[in-house]
Amino acid sequence: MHERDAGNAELCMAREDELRLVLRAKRGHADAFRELVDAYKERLFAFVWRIVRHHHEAEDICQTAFVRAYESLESYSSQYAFSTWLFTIAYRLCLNHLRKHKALSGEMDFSRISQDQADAPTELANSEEARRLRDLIWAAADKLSPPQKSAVLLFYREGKSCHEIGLILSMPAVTVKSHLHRARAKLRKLLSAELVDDWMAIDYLSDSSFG
Amino acid sequence: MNCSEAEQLFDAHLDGQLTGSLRLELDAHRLRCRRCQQTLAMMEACEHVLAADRRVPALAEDFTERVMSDAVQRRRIPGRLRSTRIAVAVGFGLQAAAVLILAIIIQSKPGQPVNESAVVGPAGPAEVVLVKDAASNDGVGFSELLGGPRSAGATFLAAFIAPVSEIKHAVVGWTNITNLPPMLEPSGREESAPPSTRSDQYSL
Repeated sequence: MHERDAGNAELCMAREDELRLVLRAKRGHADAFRELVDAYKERLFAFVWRIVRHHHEAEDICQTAFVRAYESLESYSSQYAFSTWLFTIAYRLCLNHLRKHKALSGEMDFSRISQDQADAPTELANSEEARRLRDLIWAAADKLSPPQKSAVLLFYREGKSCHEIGLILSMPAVTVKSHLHRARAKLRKLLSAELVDDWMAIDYLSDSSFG
Repeated sequence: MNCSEAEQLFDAHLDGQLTGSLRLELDAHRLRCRRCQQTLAMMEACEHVLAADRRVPALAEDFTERVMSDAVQRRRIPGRLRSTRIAVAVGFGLQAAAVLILAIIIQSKPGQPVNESAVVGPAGPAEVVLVKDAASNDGVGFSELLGGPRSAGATFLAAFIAPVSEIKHAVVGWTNITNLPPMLEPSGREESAPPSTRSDQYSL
């Protein structure tokens, strides 16, 4: 939780800046929308990619999400964070994509992992064992249902509250809590079957490992 | 606290919402129970990875350019469509209003000597369709309708189709017309030709 909040604060654009840019974009200033795209594209892409697990599809979905957001800026209500609105559009596009493709391919596409992130400084974090455990965790996460996985990603990675996640996933906050609870239970069940003894020795999977 | 009770607190613990005595109890249980230690360690590791693992493929370098190009292009199109839709709607509205007013005025004077039963079709300057019923065989021609002060309907019609020089032709349907005015004579037909029961084309 601790790191979650800190990371989220770091990632978030100041609300005033965000509103100013949205207002300018509404008035037709394309450069203001460009700033919003630059500010949110990485986060949105990470979220979408984690759900669809395909690089080019994820990029297309992100592009469509941004374009739709630009087209319907008039309908954006400033009472919510711009990112919440953007993630809502992207989530619906992801669901459409998943419906079309029925099932996740499960294929991991790490071919284009950016170099700076691959070169994480901590030796332990890059050790084979650490990589293996992280891959195990993501493989387990991939077995969650789309709403469960989205709730987990938005909660942990984006630092969204259950209320905000409810807005994005179009469900009440109570249902979001239920999804999170079930997701944790499922992850626990899936991961418990793996290398139980290792979990006690994985302090190196702390936040410092991810550069 | 036993393992079952501890497990019920895992979610609250992972959310950082466990405080006070419950937190102390869970911590105490965790120290004693290796299984719960393992489970919590696993879930905390899982949280760390889910929250902080940034191993995500890099976006294409031209992603922003692509988005902006697509977005700006698509936003222009609805604007053009909107103005076209407005123009079409206004055009239809005016046309409908003109037809309605014309119909009301003509219908409001049923006793006039000129007994037009209806004026049908687009009332633009290029073409006028005038239907004359069988009873109105008083020989009143289209020229009188335009020029005579017989009715408000006729006056309106005359004003409405003022640029009459642009009228290419009129289609007039009638029966039993005896005195066909010269200007409405069928092109290339004899005056003694039998009355027609169908619509014919006349040049003005």
